[in-house]
Amino acid sequence: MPESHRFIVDRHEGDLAVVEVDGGSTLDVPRWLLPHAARPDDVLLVSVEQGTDRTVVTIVRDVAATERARAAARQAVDHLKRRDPGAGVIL
Amino acid sequence: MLAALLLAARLTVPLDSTVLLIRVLDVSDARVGGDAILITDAGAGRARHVLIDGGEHGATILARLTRLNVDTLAAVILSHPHADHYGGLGAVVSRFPVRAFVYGGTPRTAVTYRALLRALDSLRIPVVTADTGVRRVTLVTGDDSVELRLLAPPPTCGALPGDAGGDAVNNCSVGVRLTRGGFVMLFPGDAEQAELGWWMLTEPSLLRADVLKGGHHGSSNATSAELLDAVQPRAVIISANGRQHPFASVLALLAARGIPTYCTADNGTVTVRVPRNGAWTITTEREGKCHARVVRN
Repeated sequence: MPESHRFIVDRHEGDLAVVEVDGGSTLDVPRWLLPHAARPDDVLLVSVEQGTDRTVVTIVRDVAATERARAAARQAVDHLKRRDPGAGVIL
Repeated sequence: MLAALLLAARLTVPLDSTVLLIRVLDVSDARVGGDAILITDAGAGRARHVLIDGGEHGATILARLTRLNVDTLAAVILSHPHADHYGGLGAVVSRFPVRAFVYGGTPRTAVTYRALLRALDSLRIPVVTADTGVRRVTLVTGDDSVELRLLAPPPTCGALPGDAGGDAVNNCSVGVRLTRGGFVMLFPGDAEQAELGWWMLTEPSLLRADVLKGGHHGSSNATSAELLDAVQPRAVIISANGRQHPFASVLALLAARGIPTYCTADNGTVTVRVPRNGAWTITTEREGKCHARVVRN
C-alpha cells in the first residue's frame, strides 16, 4: 500500500522549490523532482512505494484540489477585507 | 559564559524613551530563516512594538520576542505571504495580543497560511488590507510620532513578470516607509524589479531613505543601481534567509558605492537606534563581514 503525502508549492528559489508538506513545515526540493507545470499554489499528491532496493515516488498535480484551495483562500481574504477598519491606523 | 551575558545585555538594553529601536532580527535557523523586524517605540512610557514579518518558524520568533521583553504587539505587518515571512506569525498572534494586522490581501493556498487568516478572524484582530494607495500606521506620543507608510503593490501585481527564481507573490509585497523626525527607513519586502519599478514610477519621493532593508534577502532581482539611485541609502541591512542569500553581485554593487552593509547571517541581529534628537546609529550582535551565499548575477 503506497504512502500518501501532499505538497503545496510555496515558492521557487532558484533551482529549488519550497513546498509545504502535509499542511505543516516546508521542505526544499529540487525543481526537477516536480512536474514541469507545477507552479506556486499548486497542490501536489505524492505517492511513495518504498521497497527494499527501489522506492517509487509519484508526484501528480491535483488540479481539482488546487482549485478548491484557491477558492478557499480567496474566500478567507475577502472575508477579512470586510473587517478592514478603513483609512489609517493610529496606535 | 561572560560572552553570553554580554550578548544578553546588548539584546535587552534598557529602553531609552527617546530612542526608537529597529531590530532586524536574526531568525536564521538550520538553513531556514526569512525576515522579521521588530520596531520598538518607548515614547509612551512603555514599549510599543510593531513586527514586520515573523520568519519561518514560530518557536524561533517567539524566542526572539520573549527575550526582548515583548508582551503585546501594537501591529503586525506581513510584507507578503511566503512561508519564510509568515510562517512564524501563527504562533505570534496566538501568543501575544495584537492590536492590528496589516497585509496585502494576497490569497495563497498553503494550509498554514489559511490557518493564519482563520486565526486573525477568530481572534477578532482588526485587519488592514493595504492593497491600494498609501495608507498609514502611526504611533503617536504627544508631539512625537513614528509613521509607517504602507506602500501598496500595483493592482496587477499577480500578473507582473518575475525574474528567474522569483514569482508574482514577491511582486505583491507591501512596502513600509518608516519615518521618525528626519530619519527614514525603507522596507520593500521581497519586491522584485517589476514592483520596485512601479514604486519608482508612482511614488518616487517615498523611496528615499537613510537606511534600506535590502529587498528579497539580498537577491539581484531586488537591488539594482536604479533602486539605489532612488533610495540613496547610507546603510543597507540584509536579512539573509540561509538558503542562498545574499548574492555576490548585490554585495559587490553596494561595496562599489561604499554603502555600509550588514547581514543577519553574519552579524546576527542588527539594530538601528534613532534618537529623537541626534544622529542614528547601527549596532550588531556580532562583528563580521557580509558573505555571499550564491555567486551569480
